[in-house]
Amino acid sequence: MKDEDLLRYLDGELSPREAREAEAAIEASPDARRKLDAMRQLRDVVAARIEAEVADAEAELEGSWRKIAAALPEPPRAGVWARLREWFDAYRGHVLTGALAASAGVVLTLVLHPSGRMAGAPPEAAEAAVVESLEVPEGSGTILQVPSDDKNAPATTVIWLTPGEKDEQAEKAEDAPI
Amino acid sequence: MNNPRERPSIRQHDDDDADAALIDRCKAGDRDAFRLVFERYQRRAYALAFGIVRNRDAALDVVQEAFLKAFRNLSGFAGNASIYTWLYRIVMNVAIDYKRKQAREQKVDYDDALAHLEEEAPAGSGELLPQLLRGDPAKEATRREIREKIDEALAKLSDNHRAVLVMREIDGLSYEEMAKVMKCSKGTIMSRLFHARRNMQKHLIDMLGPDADEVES
Repeated sequence: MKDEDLLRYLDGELSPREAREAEAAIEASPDARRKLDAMRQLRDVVAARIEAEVADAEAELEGSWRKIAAALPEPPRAGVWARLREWFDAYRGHVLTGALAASAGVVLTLVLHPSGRMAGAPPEAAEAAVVESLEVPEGSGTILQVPSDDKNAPATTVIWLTPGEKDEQAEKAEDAPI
Repeated sequence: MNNPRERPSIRQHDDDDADAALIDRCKAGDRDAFRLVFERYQRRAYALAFGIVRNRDAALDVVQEAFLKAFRNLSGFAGNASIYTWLYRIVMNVAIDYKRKQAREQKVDYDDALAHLEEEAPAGSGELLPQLLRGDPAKEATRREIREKIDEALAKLSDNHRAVLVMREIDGLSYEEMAKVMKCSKGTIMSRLFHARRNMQKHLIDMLGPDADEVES
């Protein structure tokens, strides 16, 4: 048996058919068996030596990552949208909670302050004294006296104009072609 | 008869699909993924680096530099190759560069052709190792005195011979995989492996033979 074939047999490089033939040849040849044993011995010796070295260097090897990580280039900065998305992903819970709270606030405000009162009531009406109500073209007016916080200062006069509702006929008349 | 292709303990697992997914993440700049690659291959990379430079600190430096180079050159990784053959090639190149630089600093010519002189060494083929290693060579190899002898024998090999020995005996790489790492033909790998084993065996027999009794006692 040629040394080359013995080497390929040892290294598992023969086809299954070649390996079967090699096994038969090795069985029949004391010289081939001796060579094969010698190569296996050597493999065990070399492997044991290097594996022992790897095991001894294990701790230092683990520590190598810190040095590698410190020397790695910084990852490229993401674009504006990617960063916004990243921010949203990170704070998704807070954003949703905030949005829900704001919605609840708007709903509560609408329930507690119906639109008519909000739009029509003069500011500070409860504290201001109504001096006079007026009828003005296309609406009504109210003259209010709003007292100042400073008792020595004069009150402020506010004229609050509220547009009146136009009737349908008047609107049609306005929209009619001249 | 035993399965001829037994071994290797530091070759933990090869999962090419998982590797491909990791590499995609690394290419996107994911450091955590690169750390996983490091953890998966650090021991194998170190074994090869140590096999070539034969010094722990130097081998650790080689591993660090090789992984940094790998990270910077991820775009050059084709994906049709196994990640460990690609990494091995980088480790091998960095280790050889280290040896060349070291030789320049010591004003010694680095000439890998020296390796070919070794190939002319008389063959020890077929000779079994001395009696003290015959019982359990792997166990004996962990004894300090024996370790030193093995290191001396390894030191007498060329870098290429040590590299093929480590890749084959420790890692179980096939001839084809080794040929990819070393960028040479399978025939060259076979030749290097054959001469590496023969020379290593001869050096060990020379060193352990006459001193066997002394070491054993």
